[in-house]
Amino acid sequence: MPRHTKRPRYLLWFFLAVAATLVLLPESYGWSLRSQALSLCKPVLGWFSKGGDAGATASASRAAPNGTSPRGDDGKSNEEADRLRAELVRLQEENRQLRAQAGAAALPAEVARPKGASAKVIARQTLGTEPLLGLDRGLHDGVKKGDGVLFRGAVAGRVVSSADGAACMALVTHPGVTVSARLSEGRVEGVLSGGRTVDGERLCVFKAVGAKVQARPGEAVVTSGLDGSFPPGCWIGTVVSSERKGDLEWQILVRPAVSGPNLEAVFVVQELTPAEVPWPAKKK
Amino acid sequence: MREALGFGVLVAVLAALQLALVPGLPVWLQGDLLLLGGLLLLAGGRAETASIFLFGAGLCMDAFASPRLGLCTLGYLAAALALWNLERDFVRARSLGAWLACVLGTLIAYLVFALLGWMTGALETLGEGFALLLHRVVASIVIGLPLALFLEWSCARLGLLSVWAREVRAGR
Repeated sequence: MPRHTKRPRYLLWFFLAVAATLVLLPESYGWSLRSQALSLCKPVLGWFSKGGDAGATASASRAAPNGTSPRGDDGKSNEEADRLRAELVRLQEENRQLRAQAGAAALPAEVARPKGASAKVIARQTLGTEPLLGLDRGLHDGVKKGDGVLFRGAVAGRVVSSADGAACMALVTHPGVTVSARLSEGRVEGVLSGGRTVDGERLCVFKAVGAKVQARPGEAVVTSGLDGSFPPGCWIGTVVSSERKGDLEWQILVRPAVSGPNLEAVFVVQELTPAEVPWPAKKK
Repeated sequence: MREALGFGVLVAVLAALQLALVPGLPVWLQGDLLLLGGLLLLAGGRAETASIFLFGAGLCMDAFASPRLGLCTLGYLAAALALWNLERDFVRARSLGAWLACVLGTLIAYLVFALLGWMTGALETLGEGFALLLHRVVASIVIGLPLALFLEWSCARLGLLSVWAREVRAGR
C-alpha cells in the first residue's frame, strides 16, 4: 500500500484559530455567547426536559407540602412568611433575654447578621439542565465569585460569576456548587454538593467521613462555616437517606430547603471569615 | 448529504449520552464519548471530516459542560493535530490502534484543557484539571476498545470510513 500523502491541514488550523479566539474572549462575553447559543437550542432542550416549565411547576408543587419550596407567590405563602418573621423576632428577643440571664456575652454583630447585600433576581436561564439566576448586584456592590447566597436564612446557592453591576448565581443543587456542611444532631462535618436527581427530584449529596455516621431521615443539615462563604448554622436541607460507600465514607442524600429557581430576592453574604477549626489542646 | 446526516446523528447521540448517562457512571467509566468518537473517526474515517466532527463536538461540550468557552474545542483540536499524521498507522493497526489513539488523544486533549483552564482561571487549581485528566484517561482505556469496535461498525454502515479503512476492512 503506497504511503498516504500528507493532506492539507488548513481546515484544522482554521478551527484551532477559532477555538483559541473563543478561549481568549473575556469570560462575560463567553457566557453571553453561550447563553445565546443555548437560547437558540431551547426548543430542542425543552423537548428533552419532560415538558419544560410544566415539569418545573409540577416539581415545585410536589415540594410545597413540606414547606421546603421557596415559592412565595400566593397568599398563603406570604402569610406563612409573615408569621415566621414574627416568630423570628420573638425568638431573637427571647434568646437575648436568656443570654443576659446566663451572663453570656452577646454575639458579635457580624455573627448575628453577616455582612452582605440584598439582591433582586433579574434573570433566569437554564444552561443544560441547571438553572442559573442573574442578580442585580455586582462587583461595585462587593458581590464577587464564590460568595454564598441565602434565601430566608437558608442556603440558596453561590455566586458563580460577577460583573460590574450584575452577578450570576447557581443553586445549591448545581453539581458544581459545594458547601461545607454539618449534621445538626450527629454533628458530623463534610462537604455537600448538588447534581443528584432521584425520581425527578433534585437533591444534594452530603459526603462525610467517619466509622459510623448516624444520619436520621428528616434530620436537618446546616452549614459548618468552614468554607468562609456562609455563617455556621444556616439551614441547608433535610436528610433523605444515608448510605455507606466505603470503609469510612458515607453518602447522605439531602433534600435542599431551596431547590427551585423561582426566587425573587436573595441575600448575598460577603466578607465572611472562615469559622475557626477547633484545635486539640496541647498536652501539658 | 448522507455524511452530514451521519455526523449530525453521531454528535447528537454521543452528546446526549455524555450529558445524560456518563455523569451517573462510576468514575472509571466517565469517559469523554465525544472526544473518543472524534478520535476514532480520525483513526478510521477521513481526517478532514473528523476535524469538523471534533470542532462541533468541542463547541457542544463548551456550551453545556465546560468552565470556559473554547476550552474543550481547543483541547479536542490539539489532540486531532497531534494525531493527524498517525492516521494511516492507526488504520493499519485496526481497532487496537484506534484504541491507543483514544488513550493518547484523551491525554493530550485534557492536558491542554487542564493547563489552559488553569492559566485562564477557569479551573481554580491545576490539580482539579489533572484529576479530570486521570479520570478521562482511565475511562478511555476501559471503554475505548468497545467504542472503537462499535464506531467502526457504525461508520461502515453510514459510509463514513476512509478509502484506506475500507481497504483494510476488505482485506480482512
